[in-house]
Amino acid sequence: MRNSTEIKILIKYLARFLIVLVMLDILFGLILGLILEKQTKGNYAKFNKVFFDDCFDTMVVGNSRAERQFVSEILRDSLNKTVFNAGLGGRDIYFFNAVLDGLNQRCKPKTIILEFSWSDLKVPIKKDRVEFFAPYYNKLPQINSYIDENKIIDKILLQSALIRYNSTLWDLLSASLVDEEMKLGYRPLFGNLLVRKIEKKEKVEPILKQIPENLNWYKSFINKCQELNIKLILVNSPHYFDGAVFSQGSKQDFLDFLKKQKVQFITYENNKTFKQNQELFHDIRHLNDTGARIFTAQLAHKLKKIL
Amino acid sequence: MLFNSISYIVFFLCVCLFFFSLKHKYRWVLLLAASYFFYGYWKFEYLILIVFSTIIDYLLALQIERSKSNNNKKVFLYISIIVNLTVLIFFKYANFIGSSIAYILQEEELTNNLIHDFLLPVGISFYTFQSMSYTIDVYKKSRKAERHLGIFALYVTFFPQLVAGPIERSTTLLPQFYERKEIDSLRIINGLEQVLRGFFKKLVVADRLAIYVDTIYNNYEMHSGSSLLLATIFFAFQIYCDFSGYSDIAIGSARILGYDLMENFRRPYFSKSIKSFWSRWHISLSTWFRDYLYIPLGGNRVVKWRVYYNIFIVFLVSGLWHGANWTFVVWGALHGLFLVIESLFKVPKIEFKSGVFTGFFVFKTFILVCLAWIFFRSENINQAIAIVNSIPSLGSVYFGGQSNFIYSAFGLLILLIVELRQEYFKINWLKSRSWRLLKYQLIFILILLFGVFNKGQFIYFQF
Repeated sequence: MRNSTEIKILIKYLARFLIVLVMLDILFGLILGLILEKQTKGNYAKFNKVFFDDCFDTMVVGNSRAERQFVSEILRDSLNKTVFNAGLGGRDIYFFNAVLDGLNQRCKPKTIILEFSWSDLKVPIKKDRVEFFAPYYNKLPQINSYIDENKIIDKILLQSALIRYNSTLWDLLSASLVDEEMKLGYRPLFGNLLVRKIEKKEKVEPILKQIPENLNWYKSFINKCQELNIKLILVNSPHYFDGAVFSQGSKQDFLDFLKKQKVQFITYENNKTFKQNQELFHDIRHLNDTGARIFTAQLAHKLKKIL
Repeated sequence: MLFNSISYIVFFLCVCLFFFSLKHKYRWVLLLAASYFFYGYWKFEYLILIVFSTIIDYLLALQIERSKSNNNKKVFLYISIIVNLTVLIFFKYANFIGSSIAYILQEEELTNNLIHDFLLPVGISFYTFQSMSYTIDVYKKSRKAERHLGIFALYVTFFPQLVAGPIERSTTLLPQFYERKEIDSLRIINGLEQVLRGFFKKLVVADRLAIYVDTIYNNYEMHSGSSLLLATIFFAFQIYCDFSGYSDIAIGSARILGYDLMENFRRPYFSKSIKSFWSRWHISLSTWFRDYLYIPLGGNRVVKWRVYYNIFIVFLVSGLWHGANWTFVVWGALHGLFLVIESLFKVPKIEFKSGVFTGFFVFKTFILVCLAWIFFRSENINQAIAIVNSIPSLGSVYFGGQSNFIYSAFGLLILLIVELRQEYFKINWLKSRSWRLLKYQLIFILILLFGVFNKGQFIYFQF
């Protein structure tokens, strides 16, 4: 008798808890959804543009090295085409496969410039970084499988707005107030490289045997570009220091692979303008604004001949 | 199985449902099976180890009780201690001892011969100590030897506290398995609240801070003294929230089922001395060392120098208990040293009525604890020394990802406000049921909005 009374109290309490929680979840979803749509600055504004608002002839994709080193305005003016930099820090080829799938089929770009570093082959694919797109879950059904990885439990959990907007609140609320300058997706870095401690370079080879997952996602990206009739160009932009050093032989394996796939590859690995030039770098992996402008101008000159 | 996983939530719900639908006499079978499943979920083979420890201590405790002569009792006790420590040393310390010998002899090849590649069984230090304390208690006649093998096995493996404590005493936990547990809504709601608090500490504070701490500590040469200092302070809260969060989930889960586990943390960073810190930090371990090592060594009832020696030894062993690395030994030694110095320069007991005095002593203790945490967090002694040397140079602070830093600071602020209120203002603002419900909603929403869900393991699992 006592047990059944206690169970009733408990069920009543938990039911109240759940009902209020679901209501709050819906409310949060509505409010945050509106805020997401109205973004004018910041990372979500960038991808609202890419997925929903605008069409571009040329798009730059890749991690922070794409975002910080490819000056869209210079490319636009030199190539006389609309250009947008959709690079985003800390993201890898898996993330940009999702971007490619999320693009509006009606206004896909004609050219995609994919920033590439040899270390991208060494660093394991970070699928969890695609959680950035969780607020777009169900709004862009074609990228759902990247976010939930086809796991039933994730599909269920992602129905909750609070989970979809996990870790995004600050980005959404603060973007228009504190976010850095961004011109057509390019985000400049200022100041010169000061630290010059270089780690010991390690040899990793042969590349192709060690990176099946990375390579598969590159293959997938290339195939998608071919299917959509998008011209893909891989650009190895300047480094002050690239953490991964591969032997010439193993690099050749990857270059042969690109050649087979008919993908253009431009490298600035040994470019004299940038090599060990501290003035042009913000840190060991990123050019500062001055460096980025010099590099983009040089690249635009090359691209003019190709495109 | 990790507490912060969907599998644990499903598992625990199933256990609760079956537990309360079963008759009292069968409940131990369910809990034991659930505990073995919980542990075997990591690596099935390690169940053999825990079953072995259980049977050995069960049989030896019975022998201790049955033996008439004190010498025989002692022999059985020593066998129990030796067997338990041998298993612990083999799995946890063999590689450490091997590599240290090879380093001293400067024989690199020897390292390969002396090192095995067995994985460290999760929570081995916790259940070994719990099991060992039982045989010692039987030897000291603090309790009778347990006759029921199943109940004893449940005491060793009870899943909420199996892999990271609290390290329970047989005198308090074992009798609870004989008590009839009824559904108690208030108890269940209190338990759920504690579980929720644990998840908040782990997912919103600890795992969030870990992102910054890992970034800085993994590339410590690249960062300024200020960043290293900030990372060390963050680590102090990370490890606190990670471990006390685990304890909260463990205590809350057990409370839902009707069992009381001991308090393991009591706002340690509000301690005014290192001694007070150790009465608030990992209480189940510090009281274990007090009862089963410090007092047998002579405790306070010996000459002064011997007391200091005892303190130092206890903390050295405590350091080693945490991990097979010299960094943990130094961490333990530092705490031992701080305590010895504190005892040597004993300040007459001051009534801390002035906020400034309180603040000063709390700050001083926190700084000393943080200094020791540098060794605890570092990969090796060289890294720890380099960090200690770099901190005074200060310089500009690296904040990492802006949003992560903001969430870290936000989680930490909430934690500090709550703990400050609990420590100094014992007012219960949210008395009514509706307010409490709203409080739980808020914690839940904060977890969903700001929690880190892909970080995984608890730090103390490795011990």
